[in-house]
Amino acid sequence: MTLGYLELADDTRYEARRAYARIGLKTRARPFAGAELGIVDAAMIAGAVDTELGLKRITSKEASDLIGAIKQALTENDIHYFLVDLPTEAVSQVVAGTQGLDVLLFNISEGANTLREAQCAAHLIHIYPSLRMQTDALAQYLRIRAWDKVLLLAGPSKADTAYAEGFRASAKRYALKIVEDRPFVMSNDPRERGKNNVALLTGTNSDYDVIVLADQDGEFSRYVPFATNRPRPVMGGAGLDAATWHWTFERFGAPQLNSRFLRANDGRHMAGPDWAAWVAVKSIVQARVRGGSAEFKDLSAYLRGKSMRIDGFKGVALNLRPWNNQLRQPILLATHNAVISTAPVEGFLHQVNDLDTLGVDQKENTCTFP
Amino acid sequence: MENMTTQRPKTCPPLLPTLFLGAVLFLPGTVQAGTGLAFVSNEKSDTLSVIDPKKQEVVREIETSGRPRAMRFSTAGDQLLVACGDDDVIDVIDLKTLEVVDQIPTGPSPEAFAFSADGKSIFVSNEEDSMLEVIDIEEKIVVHDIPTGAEPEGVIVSEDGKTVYVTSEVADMVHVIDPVGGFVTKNIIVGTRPRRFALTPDGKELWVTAELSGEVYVIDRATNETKEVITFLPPGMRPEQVTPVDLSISQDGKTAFVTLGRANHVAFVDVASRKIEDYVLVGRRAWGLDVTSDETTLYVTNGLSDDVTVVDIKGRKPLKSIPVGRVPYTILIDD
Repeated sequence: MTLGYLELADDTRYEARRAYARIGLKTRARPFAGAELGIVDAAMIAGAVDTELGLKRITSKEASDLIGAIKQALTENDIHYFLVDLPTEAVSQVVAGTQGLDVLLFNISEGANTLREAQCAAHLIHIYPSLRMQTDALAQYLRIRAWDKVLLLAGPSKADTAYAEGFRASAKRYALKIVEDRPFVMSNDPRERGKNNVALLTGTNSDYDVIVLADQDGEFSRYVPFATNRPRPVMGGAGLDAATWHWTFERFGAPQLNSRFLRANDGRHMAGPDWAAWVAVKSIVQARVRGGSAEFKDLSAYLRGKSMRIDGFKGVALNLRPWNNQLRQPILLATHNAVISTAPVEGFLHQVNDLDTLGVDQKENTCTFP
Repeated sequence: MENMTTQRPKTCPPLLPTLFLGAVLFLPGTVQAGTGLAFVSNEKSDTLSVIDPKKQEVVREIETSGRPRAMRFSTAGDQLLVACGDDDVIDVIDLKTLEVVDQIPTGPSPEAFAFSADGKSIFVSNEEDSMLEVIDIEEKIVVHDIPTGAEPEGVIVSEDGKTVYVTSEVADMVHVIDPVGGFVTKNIIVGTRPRRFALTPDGKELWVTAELSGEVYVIDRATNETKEVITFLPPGMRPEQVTPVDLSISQDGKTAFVTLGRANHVAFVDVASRKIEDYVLVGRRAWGLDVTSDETTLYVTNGLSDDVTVVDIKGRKPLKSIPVGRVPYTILIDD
């Protein structure tokens, strides 16, 4: 069984983040390495059902080319399952271009909420957590600590706006009070100092407990801690952030997975998208083995069904939400070098599954599959 | 007393009258009486806590190498061996002096181990390189490195010594291994994240826990196939909270004790009917367990409350919890 892996050659999410004077910030490496480790780890159990695993990497400049590549891979190589490492617009394009085909697309790196809502699709599976799950995790933590007065600072990009919107929904769900909601810009223009000066941005009449930054590229956020008007912890773009995975996670066998990845990748730490790629591979193989069938219809039904149990090394068996194909999962709350807490934070309960306290729940769901 | 292969070697089968057994015990060169102490491995303190069951408290701490986990008594019964995962050694502790007197180097991150039938070799699961290592104890050399699925953990040897079983946590399998030839003869797919084993005293069934699917798989040893799956659900708990890890079967083969991890309970299971007769509340994240040789008391290690719960087996209730070191992994009673 060969799995496909789709990526864009010039994906701006992977540009080495260079700030002024070519200072490199986070360089995000491609999560293909996570898929490769997934193949290695799943080889033995696949072998038990006489299945050899393969991975076909497809890199294109345009999303439209990827659609052609999927069709070709399907007819020529019998590839039905594709890991997808693409930004939001490309995901939507590829989803639209593959409607009605016997394929499943696994989103391993894009958290945009719209992909789980207006732009959802029956053949689009989300292994990577939504931004809403991530902001819910932060909000739960703030709620349980009773740090419920928040100063929200939001950047100008579309991604920042989407994140901020998600956080506002999370704040409402968890009864946090956003005392002020201010935009920021990266600039030195003194005429805009109300938007670019950290001390001014964080000087308010009402007090707040914490500052939450909606800053997806992190260039502004890194200058916020300790420069604020009031001494307050920072979350989101700097300080404590919601993470899909963490290189220092100590529990549930995580160190073993992390060290296997490290050894296979010259000392690079496993990041969230790597983990998601690894889980995607494992899920497909598990569905094959436990579902007992190699047929696309049977395997995909089992994968999306109630009996599915995926060990993602987060301590609890994972499966997909039937209303939007999002993988239910714990979210880590971490600094740069420690996991401070995990969500669902202890104390938050749900009628059916506590993991559904993170992300869009069934009754709020707006995604419909045909 | 843990399972069949870790009991003080019985020089005669259990059915023989006690008088005869007693006479044999005092022959020179055979087993000495146990210290009566219980040993708890503490993963994060790098120590063993020594509990005196008569006082029900910790009377001593033994410093070990990094990350002590599974423990076994030597075949002669005069030493305690503990696998230390962060330092890649098995520490050997003299039970008279309660000090580390020797070390056996292993592969990366040894987690659990078992003795060969002749007592001359150890089978060690090395978590980090997915191997079952066969080590000659005297020479301290690796005789075989048998590849397993990722993250091997539980190791158990059949009574005749001809078969070794190892779990692979990532491959969801039990590997059936020929220890002499050094290869896997069969793979049995079980539940999600299989952990540890117990054999029924008659050797006919192998029980293995599947942590993330909340199950115990019962394997028929004649065919090496699963014949039954047992699920657990203490009252008030959700299935996802039930994470069984360790288990032990009574000497008469009638009762199995299963720790249920984050469900914070121990299950009492009737082996013949597979019925769960009782759930007893213990501490947080119940993993390791051991039973006194008179089978009156069960001890359970609670990894997230840093304590050991003492359970009255007949009354089926917890008696006391004893604080030990950080993140206790398992317990072994020297009696």
